[in-house]
Amino acid sequence: MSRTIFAQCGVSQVPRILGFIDQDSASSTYGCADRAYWHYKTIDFSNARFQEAALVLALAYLLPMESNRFYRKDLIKDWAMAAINFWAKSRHADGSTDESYPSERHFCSTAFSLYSVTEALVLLGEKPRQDFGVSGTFLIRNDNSDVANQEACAALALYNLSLVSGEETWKAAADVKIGKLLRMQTKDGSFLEYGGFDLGYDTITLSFLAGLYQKTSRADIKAAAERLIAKIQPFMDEDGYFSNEGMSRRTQFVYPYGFRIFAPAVLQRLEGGLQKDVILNPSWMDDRYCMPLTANYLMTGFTEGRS
Amino acid sequence: MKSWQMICSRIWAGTFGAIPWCGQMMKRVLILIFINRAKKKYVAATEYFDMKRFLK
Repeated sequence: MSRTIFAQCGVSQVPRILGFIDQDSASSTYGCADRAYWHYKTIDFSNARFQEAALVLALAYLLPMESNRFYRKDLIKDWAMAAINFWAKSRHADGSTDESYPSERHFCSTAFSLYSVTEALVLLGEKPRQDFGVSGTFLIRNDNSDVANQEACAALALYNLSLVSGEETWKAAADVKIGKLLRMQTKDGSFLEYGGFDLGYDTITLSFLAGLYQKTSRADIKAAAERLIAKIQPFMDEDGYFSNEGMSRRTQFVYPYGFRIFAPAVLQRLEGGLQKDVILNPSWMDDRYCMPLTANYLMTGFTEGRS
Repeated sequence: MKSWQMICSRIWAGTFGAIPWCGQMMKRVLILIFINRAKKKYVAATEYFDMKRFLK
């Protein structure tokens, strides 16, 4: 089954995302991907979630596809590392990051940005140049039991931290988060998002379950993912489209990576929807949300070294 | 963000916001106001174009 369309869609967003990044190595904001902060200066703090660009660039650097002009280009790797370094230095002393306002110390942005930078480091075979453990400790000490996708992300971020640091304590911390996450699954298979079912955010949770499963091979994670897919599947039509009416957070996106790992037949539906250009994809989204979905599309299309 | 909200967020950042515990409590208050008690549920991800609905 071809996953090329996901990779092509993801690669098509790379020039746009490169434009987000301060590429001037002499600049104090070198690697920052929040243009409102470093370029327009309309805001006086940077949104840490824009540093998820690091993962997009790492995947673009490593994706062996004929139409991928960024494959193995040194500058792409340099900018990925610059985005990681800027993330590291823009954190608070407790390792947390801000997304919407200064001193927010946001669990979500810390989890997602830590996941992205550590996943990028794992893929690139690099080690952190700063102390990432302080951010791991922040995730251990905090939770968001209302929002499953954030707990799933935190679990994978902690697991990645063990891989890049070589310290087993982070694996134990990831296990604790995984336990909490699995207890958040309802009897009908969904993971609650602010008290209700939201298909879009559950596909994010599914993607992180896939990432955890690939790294741990835990049967309970696979079982949870399969129960979630059984819940999700009936809502999606033959093009992978679903109506967001009644969803707790009214999202419209579908993150495909989890289906690549656990449900290839559903991935084929999404592939069809993309080919017909009828489903929401990164090119239709604003700067803030196109990046994580682009990374997810690239991961879906990424084949080298993966099953 | 409205101007008064931005001003409040900067005052916050320069005062209680510097205390990590306060940041966590503020988040809970914001969730209570904008999510749990809101008539229209907060949507973190903005709504985008729906091609299928458009083509119907």
